[in-house]
Amino acid sequence: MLMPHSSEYPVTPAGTETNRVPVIQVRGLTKSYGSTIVVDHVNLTVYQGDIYGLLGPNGAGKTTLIALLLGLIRPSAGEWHICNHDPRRNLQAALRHVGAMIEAPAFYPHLTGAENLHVLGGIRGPLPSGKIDDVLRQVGLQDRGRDRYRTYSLGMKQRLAIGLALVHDPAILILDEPTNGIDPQGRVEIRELLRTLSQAGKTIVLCSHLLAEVEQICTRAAILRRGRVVIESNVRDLVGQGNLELTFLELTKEVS
Amino acid sequence: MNRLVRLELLKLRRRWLIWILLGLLVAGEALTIFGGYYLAVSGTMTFLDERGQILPIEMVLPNFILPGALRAVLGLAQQVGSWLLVILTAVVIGMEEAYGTLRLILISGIGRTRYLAMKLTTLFIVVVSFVGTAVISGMGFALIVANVAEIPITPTPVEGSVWLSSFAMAVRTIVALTVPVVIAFVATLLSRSQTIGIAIGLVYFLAESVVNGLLALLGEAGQQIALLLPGTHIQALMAHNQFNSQGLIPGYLPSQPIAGLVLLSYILVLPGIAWALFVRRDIRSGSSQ
Repeated sequence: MLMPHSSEYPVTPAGTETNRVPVIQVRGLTKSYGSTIVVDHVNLTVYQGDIYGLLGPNGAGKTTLIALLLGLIRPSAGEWHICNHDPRRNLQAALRHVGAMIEAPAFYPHLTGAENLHVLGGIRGPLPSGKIDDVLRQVGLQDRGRDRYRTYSLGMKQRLAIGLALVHDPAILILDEPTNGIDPQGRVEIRELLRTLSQAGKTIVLCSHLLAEVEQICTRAAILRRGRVVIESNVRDLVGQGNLELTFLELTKEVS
Repeated sequence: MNRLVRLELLKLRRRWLIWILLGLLVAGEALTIFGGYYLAVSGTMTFLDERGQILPIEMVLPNFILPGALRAVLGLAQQVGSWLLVILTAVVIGMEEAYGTLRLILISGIGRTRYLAMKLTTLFIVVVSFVGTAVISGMGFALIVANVAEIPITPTPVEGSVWLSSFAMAVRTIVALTVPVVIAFVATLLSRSQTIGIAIGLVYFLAESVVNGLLALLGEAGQQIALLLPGTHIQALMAHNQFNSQGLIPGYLPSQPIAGLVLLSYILVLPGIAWALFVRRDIRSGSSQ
């Protein structure tokens, strides 16, 4: 059972158009490898309290964009700010506000779930006593936290990865396919957790292939195609009269 | 940094590998001290000095009790450690790529320079612990030999302080072991592969003797170049691991200060090159389990 999470951050109701505080601002961000442009002059803004969907077909550049935001990849051009910090000048200050899971979960198989949170979560700073147990409870792993990671199912690994993203109570969560490999009941629980976190003022950037999921929980979304943002809007507006899948297919179809 | 290194050491302590390597070292020390003593006393094996002359047993036996045993113990630690610590280094660096945890570490905002400093500090602690384990276990085995010996053994005479000489020997061994560790560190970090790191770390010193042979064919210039390679300097440093200054040091080996300087240059320059490349590198997706 996923538990709601307390937060010290101020609440900004998702979807409210007034008093919007931008927490991620991206301008002209570009990454190319030789003549191949993977991320192409991306502009987007994520506001506090948003659950922001990052959509696109395979190879659209979503994961590269996230890796750029997190400083794992050096940009070819452009700039971005996280909570008013310029990561090119002070990556450490910018990343202090971010918890992230990228692609498939990655942990030390010889350590337990709790030890993994201790070792990887402890890098940023000492964790308060009881924090690891709180997080394990939050992501529904309280009974398996003392088992070695190598014994976990894919769904449990995903939950642990979300737990690691949460362990420092960051203002922004960047989650790449967080429900991948999780059973339907688990997906519902994670969706509920994300909603609760958003209501508590957290900002969530969600990469997902599950359009129905994005439609259900995201407030705003951007659709990428070939490294470019083809649209950025409220999910309500994207859905329009039809559904998100139709909009997505329309915007990402290849013109021959 | 202390906290980061403690976290690194926790990761290491939870792996069997470190305990297996230390177990191999202790077993090797036991074999050297007990086995050597047995072979000498039973007359199964004869022992030669630097000139190739057979040593009388009363000159051999002090090598199996303190303080003489320390030289053998540290010599073995350097030889065995050059292999074992290369493997451990490649695992310590390569596992972050192999498990995909490198990305998680870096997005925590640690910074790439601190990440490398954390890894290097951890590896240095491992090297010191390795040498410390060799000394402690070797001393234990030497004390056992001294107590069970059926014939009285005269300890090796020592010029100056035993403690100072022992400390200097341990430091030389640590420096000599740090060089292959640094080579494996750089190879693994830049190749992103444990296998390549281990291969380069293990093959390097074998290859160096081949390279030395080829350079010798080039005459004076080749020999000058050969003098810059680390293997000869490690040999020179370890040759000074003796209690008395009258021990023979082969004339072709560089002096101790030169050897120390060259090896310290490797220890500083190689990680510097790795750092310069690593901070500019794109960290793309890693594997996961």
